[in-house]
Amino acid sequence: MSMLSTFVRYQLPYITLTVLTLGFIFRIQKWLRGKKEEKEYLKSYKPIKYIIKDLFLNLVLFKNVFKKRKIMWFLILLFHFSAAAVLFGHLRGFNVWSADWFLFLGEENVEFLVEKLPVYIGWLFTFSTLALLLRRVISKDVRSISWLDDYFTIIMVILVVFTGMMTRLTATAYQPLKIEFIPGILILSIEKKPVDIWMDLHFLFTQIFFMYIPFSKLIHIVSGILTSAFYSLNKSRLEGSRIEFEKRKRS
Amino acid sequence: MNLKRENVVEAFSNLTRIQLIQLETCARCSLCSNECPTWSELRKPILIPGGKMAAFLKIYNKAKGLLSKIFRREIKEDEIKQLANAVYICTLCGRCMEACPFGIQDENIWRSVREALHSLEATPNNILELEKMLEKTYNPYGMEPETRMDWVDYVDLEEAPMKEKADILYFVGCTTSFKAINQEIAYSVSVLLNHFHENWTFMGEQEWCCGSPLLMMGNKEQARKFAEHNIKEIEKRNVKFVLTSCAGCYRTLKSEYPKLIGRRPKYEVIHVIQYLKDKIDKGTLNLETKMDEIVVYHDPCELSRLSGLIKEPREILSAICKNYVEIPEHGRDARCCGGGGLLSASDNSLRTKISVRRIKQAESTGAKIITSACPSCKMTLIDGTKELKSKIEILDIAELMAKQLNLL
Repeated sequence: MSMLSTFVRYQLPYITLTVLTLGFIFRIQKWLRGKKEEKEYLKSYKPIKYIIKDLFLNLVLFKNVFKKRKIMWFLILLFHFSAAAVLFGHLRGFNVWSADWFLFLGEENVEFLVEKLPVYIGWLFTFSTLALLLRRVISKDVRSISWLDDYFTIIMVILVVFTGMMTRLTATAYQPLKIEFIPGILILSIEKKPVDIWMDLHFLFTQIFFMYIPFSKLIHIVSGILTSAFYSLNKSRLEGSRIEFEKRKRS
Repeated sequence: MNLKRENVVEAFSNLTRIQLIQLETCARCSLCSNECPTWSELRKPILIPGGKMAAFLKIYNKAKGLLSKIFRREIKEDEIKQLANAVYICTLCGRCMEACPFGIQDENIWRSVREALHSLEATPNNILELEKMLEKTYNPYGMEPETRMDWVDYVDLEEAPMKEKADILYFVGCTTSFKAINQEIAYSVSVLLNHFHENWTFMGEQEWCCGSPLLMMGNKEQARKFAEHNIKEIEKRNVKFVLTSCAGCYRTLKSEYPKLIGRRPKYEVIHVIQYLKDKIDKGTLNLETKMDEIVVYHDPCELSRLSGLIKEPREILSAICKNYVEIPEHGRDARCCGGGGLLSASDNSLRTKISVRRIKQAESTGAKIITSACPSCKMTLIDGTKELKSKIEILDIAELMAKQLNLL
C-alpha cells in the first residue's frame, strides 16, 4: 500500500474528525457570543406545521429563488438534489441502507439504481457545479462580491466530484474491498474496487472538503436551516399578530 | 471615528446570535442584487446586499473572528467609511430577504450595523445633522415643536380635539404634520374619525417624533427617550387605540416601542388601513359609488413586507374602486419607492431615481392614481412624478376614502 493510501485511509480520518468537530465548536461558540434575542422573536404565532411547510418550500424547493429567477432556480435545484442523491448513494457503502431493500422493484431495476443511475447523477452534479463556477467567473455582479473562499469551495467540490466519478468509472470488476477509516465507526464496504490512485485522491479531497466546512461559507449547510427557520418564524409572527388583532377586535 | 480595537469589538457585540448566524449563512450568490433598489440604480458591488454582508463580515472577523485572537489585524478607517457609505445608502426595504434562498433578514442586520457604526462615530455627517435636529426640535425637519399642529390651520380642520381622555389617539407623525403635501392625509384621517363619530384626540405639541429616524441611524438610546416620552403622554390619555397613517410610525410604535421600554404599552397600535377595513367588515361604510379611475396601490415596505399588512389595503380598494389593478412587483415583493432608510438625507438624488422607476411601473398599468399608506412614500412618489413630468396623481388611501365619502 502506498504512503498516500495509508495516510488518507488510516490517519487522515482522525485528523478530519478532530478538525471538523473543533471547527463546529468554534463556529457555534462564535454565534453564541452574540446578544440574546428577545423571546418574542423566537415565538411562532402560527402552528408549527406552517413553519415546517414554509421551511420545506424554501429550503428544499428554493421557493424564494423560483419566484424570481427560474434558470438559476433550476441550476441550484439540480446542484443540491444531485449532491443529496450522491450522498445518499454513498450511505450504501457505509451500510446505512442496502440494495436488497429495493428488490421488490426487480433485479434489473436494482442494478440500474446501483450501477448506472449513480453515474448519471454524477454527471449532473459535475455539470451543475461547473455551471455555478462559470457563473461566478463570468457574471460581473457575482464576481464583484466573491471571496477566494467562494472559488476554493467550488473547486474543491469539482475535485471531489471528478475523482468520485473516476472512482466509479474505474471500478469495473467485482472485487470487494473494506476500509476501516475509523474502526467500529466509519467502515466503507464496496463491491468493485476502483483504481487506487483515484480512490485515494477522492478520499483526500473529500476529507479536505469536510475539514473546510466549518471555516467557510459551506457552514450554510447547517446555518441555512436555522436562517430559513427564522425567516419562516418572522413571517408567521407578522401574519400572526395581524390575526391576533382581528380576533381581539371581534371579542 | 473611534476605531480602537476594544471599541470596535464592543460595538459589534450588539449583533444577536441569530444575526451572526445569518451573516455567516450568506453564500454570496448575488441573487439579491436585482431586487435591491439602490444597486439597481448605482450598480456598485458593495451595494449588493450580499456585497454589504461580505464587507461587514470581513471587518467583523478582523475584530471578533477566530483568527483575530491570534493575529490582531488592523481595522482601517477606510474600510469602516466604505461600509458606512454602503450601509447608510440602503432604504431598509427588506426586499433582499425575499430574494434570498435562506431568507436572510438583511434589513434587521443593517439596523444593528448602523447602531455599531453610530457608536464608532462613523455615521455620515448629513445623518448626524438629522440627529441634531431631532434632539433639538423632536422632529427630523428642524421645525419648532410649537408648530407641530399648525397644519390644522393650513387645511382648515374645524374639529381638532385635544382631550385628556379618549378611545383613540391619532398619532399624526412628523412627515404628515410638517410636510405640506402630506397635511391632507392628516385632514382626511381627522374627518374620517369625525365622520364615524369616534371619541378621539390628538397629542398636539406633546407628540414627539416616533423615533424611527433615530433607530434607522443607529441611536437607540435617544430613540428610547422619545419612546418613553410618547408612551407616557399616550398612556396619560387612557386610550385603547393609537391610530397612525404612517407606515414608519406604525412599525416603530407597534414593534419597536415594546423592545425599547421592556414592556407592552397599555394600548393597541393600528394603522388607518386596519381602521378602515374594520369599517368595511362591519358594514358601516356607506359608499354610494365607486371610483372610475384606474388605481394602483404601492405597498409601503414598512407596512407590507416588514409588518404583514398586505390584504387590508386591497380589500379597502376593492370596496372603493371599480378599476383597481396591481402594480408590477407588489405585496411581499413590493419594489421600494426610495423613501425609506434615511436615503433622503444620505442621497436624495438616488431616492428620486428609485421613485422614477416605480412611477414608470405604475404608468405601465395605465393607472391614473397611485395610492399608498405612508406619507414618506407619497412624498417620494410625488418627487418621482415631478422628475418624470408624469401626470399620474399620488394620493394616500385615507385621502381616497375621504374623497369617496364626500368628506374632501
